[in-house]
Amino acid sequence: MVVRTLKSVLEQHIAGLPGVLAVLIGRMTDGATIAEINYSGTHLEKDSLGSLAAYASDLLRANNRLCQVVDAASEADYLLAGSAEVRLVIKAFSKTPYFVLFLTKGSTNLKLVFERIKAILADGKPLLPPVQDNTTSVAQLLLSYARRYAPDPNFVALRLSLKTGLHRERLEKGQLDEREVRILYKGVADILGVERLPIPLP
Amino acid sequence: MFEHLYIDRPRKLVAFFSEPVIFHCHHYNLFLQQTIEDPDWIDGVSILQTSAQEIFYSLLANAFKRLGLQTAAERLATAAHIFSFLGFGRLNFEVTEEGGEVELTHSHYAEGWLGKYGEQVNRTKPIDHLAVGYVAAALDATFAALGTYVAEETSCVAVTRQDHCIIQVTKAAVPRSLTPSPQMGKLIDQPVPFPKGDTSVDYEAVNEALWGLPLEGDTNGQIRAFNVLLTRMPANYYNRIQYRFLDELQKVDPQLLEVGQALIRESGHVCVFYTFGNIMESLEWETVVGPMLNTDTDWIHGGYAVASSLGWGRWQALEVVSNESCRVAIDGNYEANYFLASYPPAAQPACYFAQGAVPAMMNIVYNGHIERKPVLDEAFYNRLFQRGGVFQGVEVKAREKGDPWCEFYAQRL
Repeated sequence: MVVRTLKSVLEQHIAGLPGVLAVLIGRMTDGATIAEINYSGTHLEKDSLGSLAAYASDLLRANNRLCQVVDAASEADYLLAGSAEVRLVIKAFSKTPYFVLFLTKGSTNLKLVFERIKAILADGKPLLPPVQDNTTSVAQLLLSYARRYAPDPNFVALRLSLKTGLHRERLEKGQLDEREVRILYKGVADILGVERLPIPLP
Repeated sequence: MFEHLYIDRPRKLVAFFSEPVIFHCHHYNLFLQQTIEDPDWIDGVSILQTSAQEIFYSLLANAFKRLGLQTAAERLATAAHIFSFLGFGRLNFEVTEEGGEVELTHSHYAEGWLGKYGEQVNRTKPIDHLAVGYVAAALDATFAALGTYVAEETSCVAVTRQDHCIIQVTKAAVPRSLTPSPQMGKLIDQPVPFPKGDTSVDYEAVNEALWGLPLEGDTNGQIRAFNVLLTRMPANYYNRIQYRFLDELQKVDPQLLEVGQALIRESGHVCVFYTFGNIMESLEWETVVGPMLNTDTDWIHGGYAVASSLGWGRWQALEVVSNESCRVAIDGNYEANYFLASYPPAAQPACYFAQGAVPAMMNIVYNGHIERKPVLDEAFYNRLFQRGGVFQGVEVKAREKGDPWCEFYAQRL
């Protein structure tokens, strides 16, 4: 008997669709990739695919907030992003933090992409991992956010350590108390030059 | 102003009114300044502004004396001229002996920051700490003595995104006791005769060609060359902010000293990546160094021939193993010259900029494949690190500790 996995669901539903570069299932709360298929060859390195899920999470969160402002009663629809050459289509699994992301060529038929996503949402939902609270600490979310949006991402942990006076090892492990998390929040916000971050404090 | 540059050929240093001056680009300047102003628990801004006031006071006082300038108008005009010549932008002094207002346009730091980070992040605090110190130094040297004036930037282009910055300058309520520059510092007596490495690169020929380049501020007071904004900075400004900053970390939280050191090393890495990367893709490189390049290891030697043309001292690659490692000597490094004139002998190697620059040269050649002329942007820089296999360096001999010269070894992690 063949055991169905999220990856096999993705494989089943993207078969025969021209112009697919990558498909993944991600988790909005921490930007993690849960399952993925990369057809792009050298176009997307492993790290780039990982960051795709993280940035998609940011887009989804922002879109959810937008929807709450303009139409709080309805659920967010397909989210489209990308360029003329490469298109991203993202849709969340209803009432979960998980989402499906399609990366396709700009020429790929959008209607077909919507159909495939719909099928994945239906078949994949029973296979999603259970949602656990505190999978990632707020400190780690803040650090991860800084790595995505601050200049010089390879050194942003060092910079935050120096800026906040929090020692690097504890910062990287996310082992901070509430007061320290607030200091880190301010440090990230300062580096980005903003007052608020889209990550709620505990 | 070129006639006031003095090239010490044996030591490969350049002096401008008795101050050692060196080239660095806006990528380095911004990264180093950011490192120092970042910590909320020390007064990094004061370190930056005060150091600028001290070092530029020495430079300007010497300039005024040597040029025989007597009137305030002559002195302030010369201060503005020197500021532009060095690549920091343009200053317009509207001041009297009591103080006043100075307009700063085309600021190196503000425009550099906007070009590098402006689309990515916002800035909420002024950035022109060097200019603030410079303005105070200019009035000190024009009207009084070091530490008489204080200045403050009240409007900054990096924040407002308008066309000019404003710096207010007044007499300090109580004159501050500040420390002038040690000028050329503790120089080497005689250059060490290093063995010529296995290379066809003629270091001296490269030096002479680059020393002859007319690199000075344009009508905006900016030095745009090699696809970066350059400055001809007094080396002791870098030295003073760097060591004072580390002294402060040591005093307040010694556990974070290593983080500060690591970030200063990284500034050296940033400098080599952008400045040398862009130099290695330039027409000048093709013309001057290109004909000497027969092997990949020659690119490393070419890089150090350029480094020793920038006023940094005698940089010489002693041994380069292709794609594996390199050993580099620096005789009379600008960091060590300052350190030995300002501190007792070091317990640990302390040439942090060079510690970052030496592995960076290997990274740009062997990981960045600079010979293929990649686009040197932030995405490319970040990918270099994410792929792993980066070169790391260590200072194995340190003149500041008592060795006859400084020596660095870089290899892959």
